[in-house]
Amino acid sequence: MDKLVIVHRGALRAKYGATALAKVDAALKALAAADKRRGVDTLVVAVDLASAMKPYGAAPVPARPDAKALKTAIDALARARQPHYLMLLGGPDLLPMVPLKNPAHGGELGDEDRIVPSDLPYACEAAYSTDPNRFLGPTRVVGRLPDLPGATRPDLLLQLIRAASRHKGLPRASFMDSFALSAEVWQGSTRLSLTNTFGHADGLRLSPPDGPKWNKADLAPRMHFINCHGAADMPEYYGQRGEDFPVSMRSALLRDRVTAGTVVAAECCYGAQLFDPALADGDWPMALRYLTDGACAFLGSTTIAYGPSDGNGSADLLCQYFLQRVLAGASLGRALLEARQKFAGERTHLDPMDLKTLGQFYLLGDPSLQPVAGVSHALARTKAFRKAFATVEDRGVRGLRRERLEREGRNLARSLPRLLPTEAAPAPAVLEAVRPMLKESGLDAEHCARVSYRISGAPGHRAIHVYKGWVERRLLALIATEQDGRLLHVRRMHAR
Amino acid sequence: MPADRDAAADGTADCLRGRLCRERLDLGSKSERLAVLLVVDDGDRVVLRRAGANPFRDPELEALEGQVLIVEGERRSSYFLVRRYTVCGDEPPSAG
Repeated sequence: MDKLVIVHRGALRAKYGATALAKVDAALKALAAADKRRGVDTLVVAVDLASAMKPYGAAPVPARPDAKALKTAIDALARARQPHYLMLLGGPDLLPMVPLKNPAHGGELGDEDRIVPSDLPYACEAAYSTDPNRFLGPTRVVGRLPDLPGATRPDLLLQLIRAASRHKGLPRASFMDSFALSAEVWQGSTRLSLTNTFGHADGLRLSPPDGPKWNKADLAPRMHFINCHGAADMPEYYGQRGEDFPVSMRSALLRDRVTAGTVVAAECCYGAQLFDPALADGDWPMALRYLTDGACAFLGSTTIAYGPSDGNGSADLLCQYFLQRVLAGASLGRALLEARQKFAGERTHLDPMDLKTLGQFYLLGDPSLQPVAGVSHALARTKAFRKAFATVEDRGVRGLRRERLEREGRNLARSLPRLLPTEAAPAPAVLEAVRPMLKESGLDAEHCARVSYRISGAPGHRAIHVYKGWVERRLLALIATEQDGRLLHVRRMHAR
Repeated sequence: MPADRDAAADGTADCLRGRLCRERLDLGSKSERLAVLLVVDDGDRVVLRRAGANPFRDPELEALEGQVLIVEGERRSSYFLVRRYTVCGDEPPSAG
């Protein structure tokens, strides 16, 4: 099976009613027909029906869906059907996200998010857990076609299913222009991300002074890269210059301005959070406004995200890798899977912020859509070639790609070290080396706070020690990596 | 003064009393900011966000740093949405 659409019929019926459910069924039938024409066999699976789950030896997801039951059901389906694409239908109130523990939470240095709602576990073979360390090796292509939280009519969901049915890929040249927006203070980082992705950073818009009223011409490019601030339950993004945080985008101002088929990557904190518009005086979350206005994909974060003001790290990398894979012709879901694997795979270990990054970014959109249409090679355009592969179309090659991605994901899951909190103090040699650095930074080893992690799975004994304290009313952190009792690496992080 | 709205319409209405302070939060993240917090009587620190105001910068609340406030609104996952507030001056929270 090429594509599984995961549906909770009971939750849909409870939210929208039986008549609306029939409309969703009809729209999904049309989507399956459209997928068929694109060479993708699609099966809709009602995970809450015992009859639908019995062939897979899995229990149905309860009437009130929970993440653990959903994860178990998806794992059973993935093992049995080995789908090339998994599409979750609806927002978190229909199909819950997994509430991962936030590895960057707590203490003066930690962020405010206790949990990180995540779709990453659905892309991994590891069994259900809320420990993000369990999900370092994604192998599956997963995306979520959302609906509107708190809605009583399924209009948005129907619109997005129909838009996915109509979707057609376009030549790569159609995606080489971008609308790029950055908080002024992060322009160095954003320019680097854009140069890595598009070869240049021409046309980068900065806030301040730009925004939030963008016209149709401003937003016309089909690739959008946004590196601004975001906040929980807010339908806006924000720029920054010093202590000034002007609104850079407002969801209501996107209406009728987004080009059909636009792909968005937003690094902002809570950039793809799905909230009930009632929490924001009726204004929609940015991601849903983008999708309803024509975007086919939105990659963003559920929670507080990380990235440096200059250089690239964390959110910068995941977002640019995603767009790069879209430009290379990957489906939306494969682009995210490859981005996740590249992000995790190029590190010796993930620190708490990187671990959070991997879990918090997710794809809103049909994962099987391919924005950049593939250019077939000369042999593929011959009659003999087309005849030989008439029945399987792209399926065989896609299967080979999935084989490679599964192998890569399993390797990551097996080999990437895990962060485990530890009470163990730094080795004497490490403390001796770090103490003068702390002193030079205005901190005192005996009186500043320390959090330590053992890196399980790394060669020898490796640990990370995070010292933190206030210096002239600003928080400062010194992060020391210990290897076999010696100082391996150290970096200092300032409050900006 | 902030808009007086029906707090119960959006969530559970609540009322807090405490001293307003400013602290840098979410260090190193894309949300790092000098936030406005209320230190309530039991020592808890609650991030405040005034309805309709910029969540990163709110000069109206910032100007009240050090003052004791009674705030009415809703507790949400990571902040308290302030619908209405009353300034009690700089008296200690326990006095009133």
